Amino acid sequence: MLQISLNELKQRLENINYVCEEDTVLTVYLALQLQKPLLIEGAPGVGKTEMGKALAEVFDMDLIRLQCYEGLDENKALYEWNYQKQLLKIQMSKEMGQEGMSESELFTREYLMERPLLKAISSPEKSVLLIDEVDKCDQEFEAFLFEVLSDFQVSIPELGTVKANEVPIVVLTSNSERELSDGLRRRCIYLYLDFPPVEREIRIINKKVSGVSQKLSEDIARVVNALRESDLIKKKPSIAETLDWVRALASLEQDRLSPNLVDDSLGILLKSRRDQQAFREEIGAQKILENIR
Amino acid sequence: MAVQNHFEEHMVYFVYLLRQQGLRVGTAEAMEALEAISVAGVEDRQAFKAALQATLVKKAADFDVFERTFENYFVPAEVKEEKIVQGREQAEKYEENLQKVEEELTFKGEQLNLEETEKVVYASLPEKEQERIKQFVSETEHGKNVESSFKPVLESIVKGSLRYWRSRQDERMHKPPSVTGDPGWDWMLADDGGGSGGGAGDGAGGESGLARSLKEMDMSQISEKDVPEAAELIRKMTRRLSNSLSRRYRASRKKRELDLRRTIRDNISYGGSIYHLRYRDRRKQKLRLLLLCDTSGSMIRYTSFILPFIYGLNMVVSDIESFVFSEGLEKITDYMEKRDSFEEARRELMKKSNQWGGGTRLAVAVERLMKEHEEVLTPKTIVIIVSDTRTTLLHESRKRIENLQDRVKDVIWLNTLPHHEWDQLRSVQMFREVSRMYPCNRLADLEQVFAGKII
Repeated sequence: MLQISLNELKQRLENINYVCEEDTVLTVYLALQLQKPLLIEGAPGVGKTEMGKALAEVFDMDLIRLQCYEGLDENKALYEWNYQKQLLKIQMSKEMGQEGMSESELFTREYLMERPLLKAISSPEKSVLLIDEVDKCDQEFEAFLFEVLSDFQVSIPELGTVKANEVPIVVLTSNSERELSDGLRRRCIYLYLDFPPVEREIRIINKKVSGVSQKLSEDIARVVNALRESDLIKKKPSIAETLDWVRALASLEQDRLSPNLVDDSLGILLKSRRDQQAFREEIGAQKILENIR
Repeated sequence: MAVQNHFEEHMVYFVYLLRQQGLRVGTAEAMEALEAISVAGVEDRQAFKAALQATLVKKAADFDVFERTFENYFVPAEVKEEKIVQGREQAEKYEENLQKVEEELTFKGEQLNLEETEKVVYASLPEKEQERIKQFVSETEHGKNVESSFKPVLESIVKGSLRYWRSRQDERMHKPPSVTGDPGWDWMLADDGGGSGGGAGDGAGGESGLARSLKEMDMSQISEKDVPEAAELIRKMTRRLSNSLSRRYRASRKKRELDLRRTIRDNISYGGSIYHLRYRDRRKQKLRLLLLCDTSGSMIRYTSFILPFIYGLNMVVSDIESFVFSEGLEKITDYMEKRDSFEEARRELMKKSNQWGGGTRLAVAVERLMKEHEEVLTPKTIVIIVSDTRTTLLHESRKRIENLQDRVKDVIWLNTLPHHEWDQLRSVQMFREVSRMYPCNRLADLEQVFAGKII
């Protein structure tokens, strides 16, 4: 169990500018204390991956990331033998007139390419294992995953069983593009992250972007919130896009929003032609600014 | 010890209530919840709730149920008792209202054949509107040359009016599902305190939250203002399903057919030597689907979502024949395939088709299908009937379905009636004997069917 209190965790997350609700901190805290993987679901861009990174920073641990994709298999996730190096070694031995190499010389750690899961298991120090977008991989890989996450040990036929000295902190993220199995869900503590309300988004902006006027932060947070609430906008702006917008406007030394500014910089926030068209035709920069003020 | 046991009993019952309302909570999660509470403590209500939520709820769609159950269960004993008493009073009032409707809305001495939900809508109308409907029924009853056979027509008109009012009403006045067997408890658990499901799942009310709710709610309860979001959701669902339905091969770990492309790609780093073989599984032979959608009066609200779903599927998958039926049968495959948008398809359909909002004559529809469209009924065809089973000539219809079974690979029935009502209807029992029946009153159910869980 990690020696940290709930308040300490909250403070440390604040210190590294990861702004979240009390309930979120408590859920993360429970996952840490119960030593369970944390499964985070939510729309793209709400801070799921950032949570993994934040925990690594808070606890000063290595972040080991496994980016999932369709077709990901055990080899790419666990380990592979460095075939090229083995072949070279055999060739060199022959060239140097040495006796034939034995199998045990070829299958050693030197030739083992640790992929993220094995890296996390065999790490001498506790680490954060971030399994990103787990909903992209297939069901067979998911089944393999929770087998690994249950025991934190791996059998490598040539080397034997590798058991984790320090069980990593495991964070899984999902965009819910595919329904995850009940088996995986049951093994995790579940956290749902939604888009932040206006006040929290203002805090996030103020923390992440320096030199922004309070008026601009408030305007932007309100506009983005209004866009997210609108049925006309299909791809809701993420927190990352909000911050990009803030940075762009701050670099132009703007301290508040105007209709022209909103129109000109729309592409930073709305990334599809349909959404931009819907905004211009149905909502309009003038109207949205009037509504938020 | 006694206090601890008492607390654990409460926890066990709380978990039971969650399960009864559809949450899949295992014993391991329940024990984990107890462990989490020992970490979070019970003094702070919010922390206590968050600890339970983190361990017992594994999907965002279940947040609302958890929230309501928690807020109604973990309250002081006297408050809970009061809520249960209120719940019982609501249950009694509900039954009284139903009885009153049955007494007020009669035609030539017979009750109008209204569904329970329709009676509830009527009972909750302002008095002025109730009077208006009563007067209409009375005037019709005493009209010139109006005979008993006019009753179905009158019912249809009254139902149409009530459907209009229903879309404008608060769903909380309808009877909650039976969870505990005690009406007082059931009404209490259904009480969301006047909010609209606010709580942990709310946040900024982002798209995921609403989309998820729309997928999980009964289609007939999707309000007008949420229809565009539902339409967008259907578009996304059908796009996602297109890959799984149309791809002929998929990667497989079973050693069936060699996937040469993936094998070469995965072994490039070995300088030409093939060390890892990759396989692909031939997908089950491409199916022919035949959709037979009920578009009678009782199904209108559901068909307004099912048809766009069929349209979406037609856009991405071939080999789907679509029919609608009500009093007769009509093939609509062409409408679904050859229009630029669903709206255009629907407009054409409404202009030319006679099969909307009438009664249900399934026997006639299936007979015509077998006589006039036998080319689509092959041993590879799966017939999917979307209907609430409310049809005339039950026995005849059942026989026709049985005959149909002999001609095709399978008959699947997607029943839009909520599952807890199935036991009440003879028609459901009869059709279950000749088809594989699944609930289909939510968009999530539709997705399951076509994602290969049922087909």
